[in-house]
Amino acid sequence: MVAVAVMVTLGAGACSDGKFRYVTSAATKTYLKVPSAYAAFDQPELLDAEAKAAQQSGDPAPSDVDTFIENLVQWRVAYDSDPVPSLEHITGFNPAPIIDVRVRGLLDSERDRVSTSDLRNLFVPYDNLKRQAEEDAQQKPLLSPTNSKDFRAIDETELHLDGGLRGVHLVFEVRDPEKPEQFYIFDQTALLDAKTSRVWVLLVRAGEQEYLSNADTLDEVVGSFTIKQKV
Amino acid sequence: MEPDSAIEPAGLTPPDQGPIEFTSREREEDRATRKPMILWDRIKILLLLLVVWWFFVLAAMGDNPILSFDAAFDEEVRNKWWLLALIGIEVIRQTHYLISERSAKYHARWTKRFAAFDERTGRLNDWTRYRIARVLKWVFLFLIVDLIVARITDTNPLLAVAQIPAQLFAALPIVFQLAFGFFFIMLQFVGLFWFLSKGGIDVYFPDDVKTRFTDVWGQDAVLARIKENIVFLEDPEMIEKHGGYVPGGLLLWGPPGTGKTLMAEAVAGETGKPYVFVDPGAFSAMFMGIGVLKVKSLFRKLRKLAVRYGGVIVFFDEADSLGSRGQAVAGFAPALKSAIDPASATCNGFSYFSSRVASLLFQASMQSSAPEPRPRRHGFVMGGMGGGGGDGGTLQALLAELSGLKKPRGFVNRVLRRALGMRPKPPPKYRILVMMATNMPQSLDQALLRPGRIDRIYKVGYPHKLGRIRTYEGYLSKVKHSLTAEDIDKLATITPYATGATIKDLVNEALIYALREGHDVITWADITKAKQQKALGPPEDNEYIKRERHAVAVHEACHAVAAYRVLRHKTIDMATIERRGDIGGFVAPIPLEDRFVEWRSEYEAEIITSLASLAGERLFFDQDNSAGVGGDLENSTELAVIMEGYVGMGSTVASHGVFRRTEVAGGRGGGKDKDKNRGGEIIDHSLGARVENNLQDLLRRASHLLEDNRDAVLAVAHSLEAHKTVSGDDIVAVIEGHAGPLVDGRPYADPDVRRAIAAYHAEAVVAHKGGLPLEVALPNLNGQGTAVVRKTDLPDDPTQPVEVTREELAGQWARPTGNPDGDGNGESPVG
Repeated sequence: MVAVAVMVTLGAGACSDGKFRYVTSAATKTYLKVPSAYAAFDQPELLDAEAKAAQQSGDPAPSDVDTFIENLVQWRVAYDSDPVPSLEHITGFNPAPIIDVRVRGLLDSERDRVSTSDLRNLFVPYDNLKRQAEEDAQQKPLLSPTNSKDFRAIDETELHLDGGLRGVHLVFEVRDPEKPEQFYIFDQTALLDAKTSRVWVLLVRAGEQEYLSNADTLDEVVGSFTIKQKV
Repeated sequence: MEPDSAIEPAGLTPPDQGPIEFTSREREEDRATRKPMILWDRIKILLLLLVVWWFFVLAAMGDNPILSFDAAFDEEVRNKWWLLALIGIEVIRQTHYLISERSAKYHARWTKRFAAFDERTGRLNDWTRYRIARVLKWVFLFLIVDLIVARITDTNPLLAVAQIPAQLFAALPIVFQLAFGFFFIMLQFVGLFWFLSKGGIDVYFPDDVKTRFTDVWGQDAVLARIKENIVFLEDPEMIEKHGGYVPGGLLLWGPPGTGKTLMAEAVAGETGKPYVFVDPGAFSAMFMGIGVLKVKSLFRKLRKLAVRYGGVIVFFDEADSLGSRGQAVAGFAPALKSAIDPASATCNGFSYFSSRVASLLFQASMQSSAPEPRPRRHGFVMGGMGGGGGDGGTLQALLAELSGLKKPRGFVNRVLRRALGMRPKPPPKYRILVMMATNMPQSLDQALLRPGRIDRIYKVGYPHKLGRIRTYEGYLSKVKHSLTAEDIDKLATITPYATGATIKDLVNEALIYALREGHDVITWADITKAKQQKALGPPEDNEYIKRERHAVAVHEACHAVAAYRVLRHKTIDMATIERRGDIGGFVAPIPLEDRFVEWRSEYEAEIITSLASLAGERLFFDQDNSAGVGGDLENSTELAVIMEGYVGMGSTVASHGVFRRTEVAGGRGGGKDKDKNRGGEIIDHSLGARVENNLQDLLRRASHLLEDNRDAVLAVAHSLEAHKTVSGDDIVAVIEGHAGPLVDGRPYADPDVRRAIAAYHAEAVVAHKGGLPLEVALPNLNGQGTAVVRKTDLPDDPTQPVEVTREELAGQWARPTGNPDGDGNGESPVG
């Protein structure tokens, strides 16, 4: 009997391939799985890197307000699939897929004016780019091939989940402004809780080719993104 | 039937067919293989680990909603690898055991290897092994702390070592908070106990107390010994330079009121050392442990005083309140035992027996159920063992303090000096004289009484006659009185068991009587009244009906006359017919001298005096007698049994008490078997018969005595009826017909008066027989008695005592028709 139990225990372990790791934020009750091969960056590293990136890009030194807002960050974690992982791949652009998870509390003032449009335009001015693309499409001759230069919306879904969570799931493609031949695909999920006190964001980003070749894995990551709220 | 089975002896089995074959259990070292384990022992740890493992897996799934079973399992394999490792180790261990159980060769190899290891570690001595083990334990503890700190600070354990001090420092506030909380709570208890452990102990310094040894009267022998102790305490060199030591403790014991506390007070007054008085209730506390604290604080104080003043006296009043730990002290401290236990009051103790016989006799006497031969002056109630107050540990603490370790004391002495490499100073000589007083020495713990704690045990008994005279003189000198030296001598004689306290009280009561009478000089009459009042308490105001009053008076008069005629070793203190509780009246004889030995003739005289009531009632009331003689018969019988059965004053020698105890001849000493007691009944019968014969003889003697003293009895009865209570001297005066201190006995010698009294008695007998009210008044003594005596009853010769025969009385039994004016009581006949 014991032998059987031991075999079951060890055997069950053997059949698991260990392709994903499960990451959890118990405080914000946020769960997802990420490929085990991806390199992880934790909250302090990411916040430091972002501050540095902001300085390099000519932004003024982080003010007290920035620090205050930083303190609102409740969970921040990111994963890089590049063989040579780097924080710059998260803060900047790199074709290898990255996964970026942010959970942040909202200030009272933010709470009053946050909207789904804000959720859509978190990383890129999505609404503007989409309108622009639509306008471009309308101006083109009917028979000419669609040749969106900079932006293409692939999927846009309004989310209404259990526990009053609401938000939007977007999939879109953007051209790299510096390397015109390079396109990036963003898979962005943004959610607000019923009291509008907290925002969750999951961003999966990859170069077009890399995204397509890893589509199953990345879909699984996005599909696993779960937030438990009291019903 | 088989031939050999026929010759088989019944009830025997052949040697090879024993009842049940028994094989000894094999020793561990005799086995070639390991002893097989039972299945549960084999799997229990493995099962536990597996349960824990599955618990972790399920908990992970419950924690994380996106985790599938496979994924959870996978996660746990990664996170809880150590658990799997433990499972693996356990599997290996069990496999090793399994092989050891099956293969002798394998088992032998392992056993040899471990034996070698054992031998190697065995070479270390125990102290080294202990130190190594201690180091390993500390390292292990340090590692655990290090791992915890590493986990908290999220660094690796090596770096965490550096973090430990910082972490500890960071934890200081909470440590302080906890410590504060702890001390705050502790302080409350310390404060509470400190307050509770105060009190009950008073210190007097020289000249605080004015009492001196000259104020203690009548206890010269004890006082001389106590003085000796004080001398040694004042000048310890006197004995110490000769190699002795100052006796450290003395116990004063004796009946209440004999001056124990006064002596202690005198010690306080005489000594030049501080005097510490310990209240009897000091050690009975509400909480356990307070008593111990009090003892410790008391002795701390004593040591301080002893060092500062060169000595100290501590007095424990009512030391029995310290209690004992349950054993009968009398069984262990022979000196005290012989002093307090009447059973051992044999001639010379048991000193002329061998030690073994003496021991047997002693044990037997401890279980003796024999009645005490005679009530003794110091016969207190035995028992009360293990009584007394004091909670658990108080007595033990006291014992330890009284003769504890002579150890160095004090923080500086013990800790600081030692820390500096100096040897602690030995304690100084604490000269503490412990005095204890108790009236229940048998309830003291025997450990308390051993030499070294209590070195000397003094009995403070009733003062002897000279002591009593001295005491009376002492207290009377403080008041005005008209008593002569002879009066005081007599007073001391008639108050044999008087103590300082009772004498003081008696004089005070006499003064109150004197003041009540309107004079401030105490007279003999005041003393007598006070003594009666103290001895008997106030009489009840219940009046007898006249017929009964006469009967009681005759009853007591018989006792009094018999006592006067036969009791040579005692004098009559007083006689009374005043009712007190259940007692109708009594005659109180008291010994003339302080004596310790009693004789057969005296016992017989006492029985005659006692039986005089029965003899007298039968004589004067025409063979009738009241139930009032019951008590007299009981006392007589008891005394007669002691005479016959215990003290060789009868026709036999053997002691009945021993028969009872040893059940020799079927004595009844607690034997439960009724058949065994048949012999005892025989003994009881013969003893009973002998006792009855003796009593009958003595009753006859009493009867003859009273017949010869018929007038005296009636005269005394008359005086009792007239005065209710008559002192011993007055009784003698009435019997002898001369003037007494309070009652003039001369008229009783007058034949007319005698006749009148006899006639009065005759009327009373008639009234008694007819159940009628006694209509005649008590005759007065001026020769013209008011008694209404019928002419026919008067004898012809008035000089002769009236003798009313039974026949004469028989004719007068008719009920009178009227109710002549008697004494106006209007008593109705008792049905």
